[in-house]
Amino acid sequence: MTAFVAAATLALSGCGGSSGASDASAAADGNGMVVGALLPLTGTLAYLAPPEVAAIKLAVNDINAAGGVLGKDVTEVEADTSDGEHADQNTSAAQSVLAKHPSVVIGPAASGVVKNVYKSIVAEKIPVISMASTSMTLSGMDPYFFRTVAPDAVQGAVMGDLIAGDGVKKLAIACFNDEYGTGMRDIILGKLKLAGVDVVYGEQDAFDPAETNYSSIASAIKASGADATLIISYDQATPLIKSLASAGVDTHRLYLVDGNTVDYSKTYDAGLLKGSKGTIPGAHVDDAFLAALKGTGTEVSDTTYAAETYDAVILSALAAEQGGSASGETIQKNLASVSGADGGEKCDSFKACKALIKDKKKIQYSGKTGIGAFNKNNDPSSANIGIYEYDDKNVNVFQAMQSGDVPSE
Amino acid sequence: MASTYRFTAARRRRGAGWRHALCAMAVIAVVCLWCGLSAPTAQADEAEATDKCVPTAEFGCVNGILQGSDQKPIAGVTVTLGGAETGETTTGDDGTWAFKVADDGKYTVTIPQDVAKRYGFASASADVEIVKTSFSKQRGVVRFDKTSTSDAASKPSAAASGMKRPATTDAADTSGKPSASSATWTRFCQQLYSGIVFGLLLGLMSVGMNLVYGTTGLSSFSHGEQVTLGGLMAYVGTQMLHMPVVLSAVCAVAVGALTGLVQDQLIWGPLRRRRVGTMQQMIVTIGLSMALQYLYQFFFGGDIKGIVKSVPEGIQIGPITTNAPALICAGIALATIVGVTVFLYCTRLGRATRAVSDNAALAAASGINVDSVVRIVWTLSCALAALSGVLLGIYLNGIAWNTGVTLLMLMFAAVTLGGLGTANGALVGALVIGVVADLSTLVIPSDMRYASALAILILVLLVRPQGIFGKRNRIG
Repeated sequence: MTAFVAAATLALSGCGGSSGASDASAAADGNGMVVGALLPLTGTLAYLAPPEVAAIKLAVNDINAAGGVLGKDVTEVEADTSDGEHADQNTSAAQSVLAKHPSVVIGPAASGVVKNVYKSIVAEKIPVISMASTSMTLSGMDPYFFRTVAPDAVQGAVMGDLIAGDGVKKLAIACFNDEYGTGMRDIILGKLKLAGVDVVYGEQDAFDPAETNYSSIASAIKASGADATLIISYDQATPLIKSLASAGVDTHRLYLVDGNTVDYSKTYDAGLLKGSKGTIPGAHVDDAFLAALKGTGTEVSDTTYAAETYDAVILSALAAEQGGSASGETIQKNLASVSGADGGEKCDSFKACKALIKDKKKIQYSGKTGIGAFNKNNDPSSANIGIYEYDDKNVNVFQAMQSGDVPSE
Repeated sequence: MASTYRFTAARRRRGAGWRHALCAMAVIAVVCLWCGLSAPTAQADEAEATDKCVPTAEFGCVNGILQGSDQKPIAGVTVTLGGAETGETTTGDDGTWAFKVADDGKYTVTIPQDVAKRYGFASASADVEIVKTSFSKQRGVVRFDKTSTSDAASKPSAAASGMKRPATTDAADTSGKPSASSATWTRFCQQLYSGIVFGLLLGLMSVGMNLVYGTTGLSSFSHGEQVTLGGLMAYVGTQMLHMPVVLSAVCAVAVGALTGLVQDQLIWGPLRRRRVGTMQQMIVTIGLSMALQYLYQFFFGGDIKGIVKSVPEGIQIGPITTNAPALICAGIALATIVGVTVFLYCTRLGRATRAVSDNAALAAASGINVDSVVRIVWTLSCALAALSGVLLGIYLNGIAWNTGVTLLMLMFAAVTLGGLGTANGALVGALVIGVVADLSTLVIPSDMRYASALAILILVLLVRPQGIFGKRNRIG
């Protein structure tokens, strides 16, 4: 089926007509593939932006070094979406990227922002590939919406097991009132109930994402008598952890999620977090990848969602290459196939995969994230969750990787 | 089979003794072959006991931690696995145990009955289902100390007299009850205290805003950014220039004061001279607020900046847990507000300020240089805002590009509650808001706590439209 579509598209473009695509995408004006990027350069998620910026640059460099897509260099346009609290900025960023006629849009990072912008992009038949939006409600939302990160169900299950397996009896949850936060909390709660962990604070309570004063939350957690604390937030965790420490809560038994499992060595006194644990979806990327990211000239200190971003760009470029056109429709039709949904030869770089495509072979791109092919919901069919533990320098050190299938119901 | 059991137990005990284990395995394999047992089938049904188990594509995990209700690990207890695969292990020194299982299916984990009885567990066995590829089922965590059933469990265990465990849990239970009410009292004091500290800081923030309103009639929306500026400057001082906190704070306040002076010279002064209305000026402050926010973000990034890295040692004062920086911040805030009050009531310049505040035209007619008073007020207001930003950044453990703007509405509420344009109104209003907001978390969710404070604002305004300290406007 996919092969037929690919052949048909090839035939169409071969006829010399300005392609059947109704949208004015890049292939039509013959300028090569344009990758649009919607990134949280400002706002509460801005701390996630540097690895994403670097990953897009790196991916585009790698693609162009391998001869580009369909013989032409790939170009990148990016716009700042800010965060979910700035809905006007979300939509204006989407419009500014759309104005450049992208073949594909990478991003946005936050689930809430995705919901604000995806409709205007998919309406022009341009695929949206988010690298960091993990809300469960996005699964199978639109045929043109993809993501290279596993939904929260997966990380929640791993976190629930981690907490239960560590023998926590009374858990306090400091969760922010955001789709990501409460969604993740509910999944973890389900797991904890099964294992018999008591949630003594935060089963219902959630704090405002714009909260500044954490002392009352910290004293409530202290008063609850919890022996461990789970923090589900973005960088609200930075002041929250200090407030918890000041209130006398044990900061060696904290559990952090992907939104806040970052290197705190420059933030706190050594030893504050020793023994605390965190989970981050995605493969633990090697030092070579980090070095390559740094080589793009962007200041990168960690690699959160860098691999997901990189793979999103490579997958869309391969989809264009296989489909023979850089139009949004072609990319959408070929994304699942190049990710390996119907099997094929494995390849791990754009260059290798492109060579296989040239030989008319089916491919299965196994990239930096280690995710499986897109499933029917356009989620990765399988994924990895890394478990990290803080050392005495407050650095999150990789401990173990848990992998499995992403539920598609 | 029996020999393999022994092997798994031996391996569990040895932990890192890999080589020994391998040797043992080889010996056992030889023995098994010699006995004529078919090794492959025995292995298929055998769950491997390990120290730690991480699920992979090939293996699921059944693991857990055995501990008493006091969270003390119970070591050396035999844990038996039944179901699709079977196995046996003993709990480690930290109470943990784990099996690697290759087959999907249902498993039953059992501990000896007498152990379950001794520790008052509800049940000595538990069922889990393992599906290797499913994230939610690839690991089955089994705990026998389920707290949800601990009430039911403690009763039969208490009946089994002569055991030393139930006695201790009973003692904990009885001592637990009276402590419940004292815990609420402690919590009340703690919230009251944090409310007062936050109220003092909010008061310090709002004082400057109220002074500006009093003298010029302008509600400054960019006051929040002046607060942020103070915090960020202190961050620059401590973390980027590695200066001591006090010196950084002084510099931050100086920068704040300077921006106030420059602002009045460049923007507010000319606008006043051109007789631009306060409404228009207010819109200018809104624009300035946005511009400054994004300017801060451009230079400092979107993350929360900690002014001090260290976590201070906790101090216990009666029922309240606090720390030295919080007390010092509150003290400085209070002293500064008192200082400003003294300045307004006891100095010549202060009296002139109040005169301008009451009636600028009359003050001008009586020989007061209104323009220079306003300039001083702007400078003072921005300096106070910067100081409050520093204290806030220390007390709240961080300052971000948007900290000021998130507190702006609370500042307006405090000022309105206390009485717009009055000297002490801001402090009292801020204290009311801080205390009510924090105390309300005892009954309502914490993300709704400012709603309660703002409800108080509405109630007070219904009764006293001019605010607590405000003067009723005379007509005619």
